[in-house]
Amino acid sequence: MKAITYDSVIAKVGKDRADEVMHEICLIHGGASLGDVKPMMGGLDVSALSESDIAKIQALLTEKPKKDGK
Amino acid sequence: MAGTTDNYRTTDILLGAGRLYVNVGIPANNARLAIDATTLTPDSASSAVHAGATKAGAKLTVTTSWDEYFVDEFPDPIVTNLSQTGMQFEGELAGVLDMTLLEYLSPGAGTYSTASGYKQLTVGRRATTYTGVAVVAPRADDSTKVVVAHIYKAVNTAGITMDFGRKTQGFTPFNFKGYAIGTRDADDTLGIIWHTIA
Repeated sequence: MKAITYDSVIAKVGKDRADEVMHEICLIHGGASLGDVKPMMGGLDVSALSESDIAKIQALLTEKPKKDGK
Repeated sequence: MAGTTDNYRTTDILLGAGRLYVNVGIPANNARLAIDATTLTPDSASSAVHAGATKAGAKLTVTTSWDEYFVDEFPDPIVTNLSQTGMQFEGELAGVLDMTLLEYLSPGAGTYSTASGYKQLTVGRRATTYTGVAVVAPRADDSTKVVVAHIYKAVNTAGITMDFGRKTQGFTPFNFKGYAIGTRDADDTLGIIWHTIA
């Protein structure tokens, strides 16, 4: 999986949810926070993460937003 | 009682050109930049971009500055405390007409664009962006192994220089200064120097 930049997250989940999803990815990654990654050109290198962590990230990038109250 | 064993460390010398990379992704906590075993270059998953040839290589500096404290009874400092740390790469790059490279060198100011017939870098004001920077070099004692220096989050503070002259090849200086990622482990906020072993 290629490095994950903030722009690539916007492209996947949209601007409205990008902060929330990127924050969750940062927690899984463990190497930087949202504030560090947003202005980074190279993003997060996820190549050292476990398969289960990669699967969690892919799920975050593909899941549909939850609707309020449902 | 016995004498101390000599250790000239001649197999630990640093000799040989490295490759400078920008746009390097931040590795996970306790992880390192993945190196392809065949090409000895960063794994493509890291997003690393080779910055090209240099005038005289790249120089890594790790700096520490210390405050000293005194008491009236002694003229010498009695204790010291680490005040600041720093990590930076310096050198000069050859590819001064590569507009995408110039964009990496001018964060907060340069914007690359292209269209039919031209590539350009406009200079003005934009949000500051950071880049991961790494140098990967073969080990002098074993060219199948590498030494890697990596600053996780850096900004080029040297700007761009273009020498236009009939007898002067233009090089543009770089000074990638590291900035801490505070959420990493306290002993690993700026960067890492490591090498592969047998």
